[in-house]
Amino acid sequence: MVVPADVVSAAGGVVIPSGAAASDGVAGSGPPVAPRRTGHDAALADRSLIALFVGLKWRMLRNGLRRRTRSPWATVGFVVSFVAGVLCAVVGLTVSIRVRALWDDAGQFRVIVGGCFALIFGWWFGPVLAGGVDETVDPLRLAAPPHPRQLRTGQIAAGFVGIAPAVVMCCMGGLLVGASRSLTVVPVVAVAVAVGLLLALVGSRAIATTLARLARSRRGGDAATLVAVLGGSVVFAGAQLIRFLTIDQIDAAIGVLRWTPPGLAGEAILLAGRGEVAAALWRIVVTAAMVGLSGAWWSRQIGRLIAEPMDVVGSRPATVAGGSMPLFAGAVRSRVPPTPSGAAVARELLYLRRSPGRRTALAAGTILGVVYVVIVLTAAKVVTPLAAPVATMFALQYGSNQLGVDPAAFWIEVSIGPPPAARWVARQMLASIALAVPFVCSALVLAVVSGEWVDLLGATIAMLGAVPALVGLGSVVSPMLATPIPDSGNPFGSRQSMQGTGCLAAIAGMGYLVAGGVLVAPAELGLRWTSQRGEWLAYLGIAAVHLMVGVLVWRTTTRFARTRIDDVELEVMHRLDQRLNG
Amino acid sequence: MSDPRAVVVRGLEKRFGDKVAVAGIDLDVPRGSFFGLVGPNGAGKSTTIKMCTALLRPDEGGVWVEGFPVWTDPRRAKSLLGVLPDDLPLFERLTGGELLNFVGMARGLDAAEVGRRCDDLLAVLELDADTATLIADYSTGMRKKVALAAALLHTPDVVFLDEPFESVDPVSARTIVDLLRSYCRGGGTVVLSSHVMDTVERLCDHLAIVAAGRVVRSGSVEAVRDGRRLEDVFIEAVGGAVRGHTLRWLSPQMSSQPPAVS
Repeated sequence: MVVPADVVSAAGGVVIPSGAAASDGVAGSGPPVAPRRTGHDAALADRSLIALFVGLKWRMLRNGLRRRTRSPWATVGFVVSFVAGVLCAVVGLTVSIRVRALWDDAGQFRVIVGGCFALIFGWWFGPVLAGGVDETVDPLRLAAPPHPRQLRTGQIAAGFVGIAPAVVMCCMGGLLVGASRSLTVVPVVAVAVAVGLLLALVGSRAIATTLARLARSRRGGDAATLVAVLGGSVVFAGAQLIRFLTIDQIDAAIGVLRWTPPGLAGEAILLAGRGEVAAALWRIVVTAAMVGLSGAWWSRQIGRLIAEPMDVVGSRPATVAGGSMPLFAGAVRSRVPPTPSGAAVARELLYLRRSPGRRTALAAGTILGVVYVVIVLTAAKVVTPLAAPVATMFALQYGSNQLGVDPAAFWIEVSIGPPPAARWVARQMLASIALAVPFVCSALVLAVVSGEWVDLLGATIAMLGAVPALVGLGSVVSPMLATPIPDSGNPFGSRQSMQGTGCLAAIAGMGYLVAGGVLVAPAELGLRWTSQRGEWLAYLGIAAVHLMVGVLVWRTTTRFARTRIDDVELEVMHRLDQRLNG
Repeated sequence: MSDPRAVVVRGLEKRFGDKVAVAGIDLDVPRGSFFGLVGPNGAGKSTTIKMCTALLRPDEGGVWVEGFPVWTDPRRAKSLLGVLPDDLPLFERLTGGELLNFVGMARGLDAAEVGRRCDDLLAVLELDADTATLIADYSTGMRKKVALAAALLHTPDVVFLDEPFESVDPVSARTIVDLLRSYCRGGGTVVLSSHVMDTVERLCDHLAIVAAGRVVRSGSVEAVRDGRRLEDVFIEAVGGAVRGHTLRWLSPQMSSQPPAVS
C-alpha cells in the first residue's frame, strides 16, 4: 500500500505534512518535521519577574486583608502582628545600627554571629512552624509555565515582601551602618549582608519545597510533619534556652554555631565591618556556595515536585482490623461504648495512633515542657511544685484551640448534628492528654531530682483539679478563636501566616495560660504551706475544695460550651474552611 | 392529605459583602422526585444547597424539609437530610468503613445496624476491596463515593448532592445513578446540582434553572423543555452563549505574534 506523502484532514481539508501526522500517531512514512514554531516560552527578564512576583505577593497580602468574608478577629490578629512586627523592626534596626556603641568586641561577636544565626535559622523553619508558606513560592501553582525554575528570581524577590521578612531585613540591614567601622568597608559588609539574606531565603524555599514534595503522599506528609514540628521545636527551645545561659555558655555555643553557614554569614558581616576583608571574603564565598547549593537543591526539588508521580514518594496502606465496625476494633477501642460520644472518642484514638503530626505535637510539647521546667528551675530558682504546671504551656494548641483539630472535616459534624456531648468529649479527651502528660513527666523529673515527693503529691492534686477546669475553659474559648491545626506537613497547605490567625491564637493562648496559673497556683501553694506545717487536715480540705472547684468549673464551662456550639458552629466552620486556610 | 413536597424553599437570600449570591429563591421539590438544580458557574447553586442543609445561614428566607424548618429546628431537619458537598474534606486518616461507622454512630444509629449498612454501602459502591486504605490515599472518585455513602447511611428523606458526578468514572457514575434511582423509587428525594445538561436531562424528573441567584425556570423536565433540547432552553434562560465570537490570536496558524526565542 502506498502511503501518501501528505495526509488530507477530513475535517477541513488542511494538508498535514506526513511527518507531523506520524508524530501524532497517524500512519506516515516521512521523517519527523520540526515544530512550526518555537512557542512563547522564552524566559522573562529578571527585572520583569521581580516586578511580577513582588506585585503578586503584595496583592495577595492586600487582598487577604480586604477579603469580604474575613473574620474581624483575623483582622485584629493581623493588626496586632503588624504592630508587633513594626516594633520588632524598629528595635532590631536600632540595635543593629548601634551595635558598636552598645557592646564591646566580644559582645558584638555574640550579637552579630548569634543574631544572624537565629534570624537565618528562624527564617528556614519559621514559616513551616507558623503553618504556612505563601503561594508565591508554591511550585505546583506555578507548574504551568514552560520553565518554572526560571521563576526563581521572582520567587526570591517575593520572599522579601511581608512583615516577617521586613523585620529580618531591618535587623540585618542595620548592620550595614552598625557593623561598618569606615566607609571603605561598607561595600564588603553590604555583600555579606546580601549573601546572608539570600542564604536565609533560598534555604527556606529549599526546605519548604522539599517538605511539600514529601507531603504529596501520606507517609511523606508524616515525615514532613515530623521535620516541621521538630525543626520548629528546636527553634523554640533555642529561643527559650538562651535566656537561662551564662555568658560563658553562650560564647561556647556561638563558638560552635559560627562554623555553620548562618554563623559564617554573621561572622562575615562582623569581620567585614572591622576591615578584615580577607577573613570576611572567604566566609562570604563559603556562604555564597551554600546559597548556590541550596538553590540547586531547590531547583531539583521543584522539578521532582512537578514531574514525579505521587507514588514515587511512597504510600503504604494502613493495616486495619475489624469487620463491620472497624471504628471500634482493637483492644482499647472495643471497650468504648458504641454511642455518638463513643464514636467521637474512638475516632480520636485512631487519630492518635495514625497521625504522626498529632503524636509529634504532643511529644514535642511534653519534651519541651520538661526541658523548660528544668531550665526554669535551675536558672530562676522557682518554687519546685509550681514549676511542673508550667510544662503545660506547650499544650495550649490542643487545650485552648479544641475546635481547630481536624478543621477540614468539621462540616461533617455540622451536617450530622450529633448530640452536644459528642461534640466535645473527644476534644476534651485530647486536651486532657495534652495537659496532663507534660505535667506528669515534668513533675516526676522534679521529684526524682529534688526528692520532694510530698510536693509531687501536692502538685498532682493541684493539676487534677486544674486539668478539668482548663479543659472546660478551653471548650468555651475555642469557638471564639478557633484556628485550624492542619493535619499535614505540607508547608503550602496552610496560610495562617498570611491571615493573622496565628497571632490571634498566640494571644488567646497567653490568656489561657494566665487562667491556668490562676487555677493552679493558689491550690498548690496552699497545699505546700499546709504540708510544711504538718496541718494535714487543712491539706485534705484544700485538696477537696480544689478538686470540687475544678469539677464545678468543668461542669459549668462544658455545659455552656454544649449549649453554645449549635449557635456558633457555622461561624467556626467558616473560620476553619479549608479553602480559606489551606 | 399530607404535603406532597419534600423540600420547600421561600425567599432564600444570601449576600457575601456586596456580592449577592442568592437573590430570593423559591423552590418546591416534590417528594420522591429526582430534582435537578442547574445553572451556570456562580449562579448560586452550591450556596443554595448549603443553606438548604444548614451549612450556611441565609440572610433572608426559610427552608422546610418534610415540614420541619431547617433554621429553627435544625437538629430535626438534619436527621432527615443527607448532603454531599462540592468539596470533600473528610477525615483523612480513617478508612472508608471507619468513616461510615463514625457517621452512623454520630447520627445515633444502632451499632449493629450501622455495621450492616456500612458493609452494604461499601459493597454496592465497590469500595469493599479497599477496606484497609485510608481516605487520604483514596482517588477523587473514591472520595466522592464514600462521601455519598455517608450521606445515605441513615436513610435520609432527602439528599442534596452538589455536583455528584464530577471526577467520577463512567462505571462508578452508573453505580451511583442506579443507587440513587433505587433510593427515589423507595420514596427518597434527590436534589442534585449540576451544570451538565445531559446528566440532568437523563436523570431528573424535575428541575429549576438558576441564574444570578434567582430561579428563572422550574417545573417538570418535560414542561421546562417544552419539546426542545434542555441545553437550548438553559442557554436561553440564563441569557448566555453569544455565538460567533472568535479570537483571532487563538488560531496558531493565524497568529501574527512572532514566536519568541527561548
